[in-house]
Formats: sequence, structure tokens, C-alpha cells
Amino acid sequence: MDYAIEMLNITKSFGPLVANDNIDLKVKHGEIHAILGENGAGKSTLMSILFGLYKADKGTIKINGETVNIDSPNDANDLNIGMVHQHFKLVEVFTVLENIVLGLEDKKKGYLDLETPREKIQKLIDRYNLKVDLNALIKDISVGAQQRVEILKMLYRDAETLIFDEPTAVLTPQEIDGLFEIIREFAKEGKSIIIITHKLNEIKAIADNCTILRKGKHVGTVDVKDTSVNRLAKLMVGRDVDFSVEKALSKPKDSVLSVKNLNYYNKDKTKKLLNNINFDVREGEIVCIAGIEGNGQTELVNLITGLDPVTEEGSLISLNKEDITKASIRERFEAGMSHIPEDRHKHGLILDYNLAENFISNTYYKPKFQEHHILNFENIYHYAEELIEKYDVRSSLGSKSKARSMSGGNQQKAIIARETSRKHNFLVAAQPTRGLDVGAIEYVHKTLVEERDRGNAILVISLELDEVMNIADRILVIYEGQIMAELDPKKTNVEEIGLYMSGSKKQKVNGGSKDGEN
Amino acid sequence: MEKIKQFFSKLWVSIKDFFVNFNYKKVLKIFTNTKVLNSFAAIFVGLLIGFIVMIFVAKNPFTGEWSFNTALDGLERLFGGGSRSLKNFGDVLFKAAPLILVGLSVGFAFKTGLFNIGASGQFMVGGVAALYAANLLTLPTGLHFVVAALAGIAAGAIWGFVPGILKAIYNVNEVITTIMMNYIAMYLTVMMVTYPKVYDGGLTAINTNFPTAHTPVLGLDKLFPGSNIDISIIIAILVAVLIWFVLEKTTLGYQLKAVGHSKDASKYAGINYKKSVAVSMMIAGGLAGLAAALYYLPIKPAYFRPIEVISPIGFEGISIALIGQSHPLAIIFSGTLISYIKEGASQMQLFGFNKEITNIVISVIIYMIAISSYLGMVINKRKERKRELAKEEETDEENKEEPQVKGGEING
Ligand SMILES: Nc1ncnc2c1ncn2[C@@H]1O[C@H](COP(=O)(O)OP(=O)(O)OP(=O)(O)O)[C@@H](O)[C@H]1O
Ligand SMILES: [Mg+2]
Repeated sequence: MDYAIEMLNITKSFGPLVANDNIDLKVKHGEIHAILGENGAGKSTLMSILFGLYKADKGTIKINGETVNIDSPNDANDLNIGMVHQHFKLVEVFTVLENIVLGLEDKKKGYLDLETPREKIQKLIDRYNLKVDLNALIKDISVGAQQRVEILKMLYRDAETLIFDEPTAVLTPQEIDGLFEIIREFAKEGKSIIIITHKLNEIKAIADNCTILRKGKHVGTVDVKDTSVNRLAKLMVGRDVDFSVEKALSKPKDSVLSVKNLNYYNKDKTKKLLNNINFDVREGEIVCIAGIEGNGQTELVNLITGLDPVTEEGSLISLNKEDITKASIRERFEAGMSHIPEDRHKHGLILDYNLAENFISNTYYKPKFQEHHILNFENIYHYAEELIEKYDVRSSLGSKSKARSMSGGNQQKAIIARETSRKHNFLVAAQPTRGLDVGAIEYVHKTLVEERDRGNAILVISLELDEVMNIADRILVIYEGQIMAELDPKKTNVEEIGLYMSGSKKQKVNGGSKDGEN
Repeated sequence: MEKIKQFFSKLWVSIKDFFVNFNYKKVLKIFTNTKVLNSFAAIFVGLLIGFIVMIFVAKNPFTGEWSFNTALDGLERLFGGGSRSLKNFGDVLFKAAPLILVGLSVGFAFKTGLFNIGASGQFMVGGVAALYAANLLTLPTGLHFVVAALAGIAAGAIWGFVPGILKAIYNVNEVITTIMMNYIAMYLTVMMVTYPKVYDGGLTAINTNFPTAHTPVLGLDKLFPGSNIDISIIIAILVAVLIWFVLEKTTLGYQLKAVGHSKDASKYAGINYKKSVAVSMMIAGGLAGLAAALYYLPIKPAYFRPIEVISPIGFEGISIALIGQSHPLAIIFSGTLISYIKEGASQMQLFGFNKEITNIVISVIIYMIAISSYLGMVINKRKERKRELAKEEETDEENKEEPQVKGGEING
């Protein structure tokens, strides 16, 4: 038989929603097969069926030509199928090694044996160049490293079919290159790879074939070689997608956010994480902070939004001329701040609340949603329906869907809907388009530009240079907690930004921006 | 004042709505809900196992020989003891009131992400405070009861507040602090009980002769002649409804549950985590304190003696909250149920059974509830498999035709 994996006529519903409607997927040995589709198209669901997390309502799965029953991830394991989930499934307080062997522990005289697996895993690490510290705790290592742990987990279980659900969404460009090299290596060995991604150029770069889903239906399977990026986008959303953002020249006015002499150290004060940061964001402009992950962006956002307290004397953050350095989070919101957080599961959503309840998570106390401390559910659900409609948030039960059950991209859309619909004049958006499909990205970029044109000040933190070049009116490059350069996107290029990002070049900037570009 | 009035009028409207829109289909749906079915199944299995134990230990009271009939008699009492007469049922309701409130104390904390093991301690200090107020103050009938009950609530609330604030500020696990607060409450109350002005040496307990402070009966004894019933059961039910209302309909409930679901996400949303935890533990403590007031203030009260034992009622509260799955309205039923079983068990003693059998029954029920969600899953899986097998046979025929291969593109 030719195919390693065949999924035939797969159908799966969640209540009234048909997440997978009669879908076929066939993957050969040694093939890299991409799955493309809008947010909520059913990609993760289809893969969860292959991995035994969900049971299809209808349809057959064949492995090497033989019909199989996959009722649980254990069955998938036995069939040598491994999966890296969209949101990792690791135990934060366990070490890397413990996480890898978890569920397959060896025993020696009744005791847990970690030494035999350690050898096997070390061999895998060397062979595929998957650098991780086996003794580190998961919560202490970077997202990229966590992903390598997930990959090692699959390899340790001798997976022959590897499923990657949006593996690149959380990686830096360098890490993505590394990942792709590993994936190609796997393919060469005859393993079958299924990869979900929203980034069309990644599909072009790595995949042989691509299956496209739209709203739960199978639109087609194409040979990637002969299909252009624009064609892929069109197949996926059913219309032409505009990749470049159209926007008029920004006409910035008064400063809205002002950051002065911002310094920040790590907990035990051994390392300076932010070094004398100075900048302003003005009415009617989009400022992008570009940089490689882990150069202080997260800390900067946390200090501006109040998730972490400013500890150093002399550091000053003001919003609309009001000193908010020591203000509580709610006071900052009240002063006009909105915040699209980097981590949508940890901060952005209360996963066990439904969509409507999540839409009011930072405004529930406003007169519109309560009277005399009693929630006004009529208004709350009405408001939810409005946002769902306007932002095209898709889920199985509409405003009553639990946030946990929603697809990753739709969770992100829900947060964006909440934060841009609230009264504000300053928006911090940390990686606002992570995990979104191209159609949704187009929409978010448009929304950001509209916000700007309405006179709001916008600060975007992005790891993706394409995005930065596309939407920024002004670019600040951050490296090791310092602003290395302030650039005009029209007068610079990706290569130059790259040099600043890696610290090989430094501009003399005062960081201030009153005088615009230098 | 205006605000409070508005609040209660809203509360009233939503309760009225509940009855006006009362719809038997909805109720049926509640009862066929798997969670509820699980609880019922667990209760049934608990009683069944209790019966099996009884079969083993049953002895004919006259001959002393093993007797299956005695076991049946005992079972009949266990099942039916609480409803043999209006008096019995009145007593069941009477004793259910404090149980419901302790259950609410644990359940409320649990809904907001906290584990209140300290209901016992909160109960003990609440009891002493209520009895002190009953003995030491001179107030008109009725008002005196209210003040004594409030004293109980306040003391319980303080006892809950301490672990709450420790958790909020220093992130000390509330399980540990509430357990320690139980010990502190135990030694403290032992000392306070023997304070000469309240202690009755003849009773070896706090004096219970405080005519103006007893829980009003309000003629309920006419409905349940001969029983000890008073308005405590009505108070307990009203408080349960209030707690449900607060959790489901108010901003405070929204906020407390949000913190319970995710500390980080609620912090991000600008909710004051520290305040929420402290408030939540305070409310939980207050509920346990009120339970104590209703336990010690009735005309036929329980006695507060200086013994160095942590009151077991807090742990019963955990059971009741678990059986009611922390839902305030369900806790009304689970609290009453436990009271009912206890009444049955005390009557079982007539046939020589040890009343500790109730503890066996209750623990089995809790074990069953703990594993029932798992059992439910297994059963569901089985059902699904069967359905699939049936389906497969059908689809096998269809599949003989070549499955259609979709290639290229359909939409251009
Ligand atoms: N457990 C669940 N319960 C209810 N609905 C669900 C569940 N899992 C998924 N869904 C719904 O099924 C649909 C498909 O979800 P899925 O996660 O497969 O989308 P996706 O293609 O992976 O999207 P994304 O690109 O946003 O990750 C969504 O509308 C989602 O809300
Ligand atoms: Mg997905």
C-alpha cells in the first residue's frame, strides 16, 4: 500500500457545529503534508481525531493500508503516531527528562529509572540537534525549547507519523529554520509529517502537498510546487487576500504614552532586563517594537500594563499625562489603556467562562453591564452577539461557548474584539496576530490602522518583521533590553533591522520621539 | 440604603421569574443531567453498601443471634426513619439547617477556587460568640436572637478572614492555615467556655437558659408537632438562595469565580485578587459562624462543652458540599439528605445497630461521587462503542464502493 496515513470521510460535530464534514486526508511515507484553513476550519479537530483525542462520528482511518481504531492517545502511540499540540501539554514543574518519559516510565526494581531513558534521549538530541537541558524545569525554559521537548517526546516513543499543530506560531525565525531542518531530516528517514500552519511561505518552503479546509469542508489537496501563495490564500478563504496593508501617512499628534528611564532587573537583581528605555507613542501612530524573542519585550509590556510592578527609582510611565508608574491594572484601563496580551491562555481568557463572560472580563463593573452590582445579562449577551458578528468569532455555541472549547485563532479574535471595542485611546498589542489565518491577519491589521486613524496610540510588539514593516509608522528595535534604533519603515529594510536586532549595529538614539524620525 | 433596597428587589424579581417561568421540562432536564444522576446513583450505592454492612453485623436483639430480619428492620429505619412521622421529619429539617450552612461555607469557597478545611474552627468560634452574645447581652426577644446570630457570623468571618489574608498577601496555602486555625479555635473555645459568667457548672457547658435569644419558632411546631423545628431551616434555605444569587448574578460573584478559575487571567483583567480571596474566605467563615449560631441557639440546643476535640461538623460540610457538587441550591438537598440519613441511623440503634453506620454510608457516597465522573466516562465510551459497532455494520456495505477521492481543487 502506498499511503502511510489515510483518513477517509471523516465527520465530527460538536453540538450543532460540524467541525469536520466528510474530510479525506492521505499522506505517504516520507511526505511533508501541510494542512491549511481558516481559524476554526477544523484542522486541530482533524488531527485530534488522528491522535485519538476525539472520536470521529463517521469515517475510517487506515495506517499502512490497514483499518485501525484509535480510541485514545495510547492507541495512537502504539501505532507510532505522535503529536505536538497547538498549546503544549507539558508539566511545568517537572524536568524536561521527566516530561519526556512521562507515561512510559521504565522501572528498575520497582523504582523509577531515569538513566536508561536519559541515554536514549541524549542520543536523539545529538542526532537531530535538538538542544535542551534535560535537567531544567519546563517553566524555566523558552517556548522554543519547550517545543523541542515535545518533539523529543514523540521521538522517544518511536513515532513514525509526526503531527505538528501550528509549530511555528511561537518560534523566532531562527528557531523556525532549525525546526524545518529537523523536519526535513525526519522526512528523509521516511517518516510522514503533517504540519498545520497559517504562514503560506512556510508551506511553500517545506511542504510537498497541502490539504485545504474551509468551514469544516475539504476544499482540495494541491501540489505545493505548482501553487502560488496567492492561490493558496484564495483557496483557503474563498476570496483574494490583500497582503500589504494600505494606509495613509500617519499624522501623529500629542504624546499618549510616555516611558522615561525605564530600568528593570530580574528577581535576584543579577541581570538588567531593561536598560534605560525611553520612548513615546503619540496619537495617530503605530509604533512597533521589533526584536528577537526574549530581549525584554515581555518585561516591557508587563511594566507598561501593570502585570509586573516597576521597581526602580526614577523610572516613569505616563498615560495621557497621568503618572501611572504605580497605578493598578484597573486604574490603567480606566486611564485609557487596552491590552492584547502575549499569552492568551494564561492572561487573555478565563477558559472556563463562556465567550460572553470573557467579553466583559475587564468591564463587568461598568454601568452597561451591571446595576446595583447585579449583572445585566441581557446587555451582556447582546454585546457578545455584536462582537461575535463584527469580528467574525466562530465557535460551536456562539456567545455560550466555553472559551476553552474554541479554536486557537478564534480565541485570539475574541481577545482582539474585547480590547479594541472597549473605551481606550492607547492599545498595547503583544503579538496580536499569533495563530491567526491570513484572512484574519488582514482584518486585524486593518483594525489597527483604523484605530490609528481614529487618533488612538498603538504599541505593537511583534517578532515578525513582515508584520512590523507592514503596519508600523515607526520601528523601535530592542536588543538585550535596550532600544538599539529608531527607524522609519519607509527608509529601512529587513536586513538593516536584522542587524540591529542581533546587536551587531547600534544607532545613537535618545529614544525620545518628539522630533519624529532622526 | 436605597442600594440595598434595589438589590433585594432585583433578588426578588429573579426568584419570582424562576417560579413564573417554572417549566417542568427544565426541571426534568436538571434531574436527567449526568451530574445529578451521578449524585443519585452515588447515594443509592452508599445506602446499599451500608445495608451490606448491616447484614453482617445484624443480631436479633433478644436472642443475640445473627438475623437477616433485623438487618431489614434496620434498613427500613435507615431509609424511612426520617419520614416515619411529622415529628421525625421536623427534626430532620431542624438538624439540616446548620449542615446546609456549613456545606455552603465549603461549597462557596470551593466555587471561588479555595479549599476551606477550616469550617470547623469557624463554627466553633461562631458558636462561642453567639452564646456569649446570648448570655451577656440584655435585649428584647427576637432582636436578641438576631444580634447573637450576627455575633456568630462575625466571629466566623474573622476566622475565615485570617487564612484569606494570609493567602492573599503571603500566598500561604489556605488548606494549611485553615487546619491550624481549627486547632487555635479548639483551644481558644475550651478556655472561653469556662468563663464563669457564661459557664453552667451543672451542665458542664455554656448556659443555655437565655430566654430572649432563642431561635424563634414562629409556629412551625404546629406543622411538625412534637419536633424541635424552628425558623433555622428557613434561614438556611434563604441564605442558600442568596449565595446562589451572589455567585451567579452579581458582579461580586463574577469576580470571585473568575479568580477561582484563573488567578492570572483575573489579575490581567484588573480584578483585585487579594481582596477577592480575603472576601471569599470571610464569607465562607461567616456562613460557618451562622451555622453555629443556629446549632447552639435553639430552645433545645446542643451544648457547648469544654472538650478538646475539633468539631466534626466542618468535615461533614465538606461531604455535603461534595454531594451537592458545590451548587448552593443542591446543597439544600444534600444537607437535608445527610440529616435524614442521620435521623434514620439514630433510630437504627433501636435494633442494636451502631449509629456510626451513617459515617460508612456517607463516606461511600463521597467515594462514589468522586469516581462517578470516571464511571460516567467509561459508560459513555461503552455506549459510543456499541453505537459505532452498529453503525459500522451499516457503513461496511457502503464502503465497498470505492471511497470518493477528492483531488485538485473544487473552488476556484
Ligand atoms: N471540545 C470542543 N467543544 C466544542 N466545540 C469545539 C471543541 N473543539 C473544537 N470546537 C469547535 O470546532 C471548530 C473547529 O475547531 P479547531 O480547533 O479544529 O479549529 P482550527 O482549524 O484548528 O482553528 P485554529 O486555526 O484557530 O486553531 C471551532 O469552531 C471550535 O469552536
Ligand atoms: Mg487549531
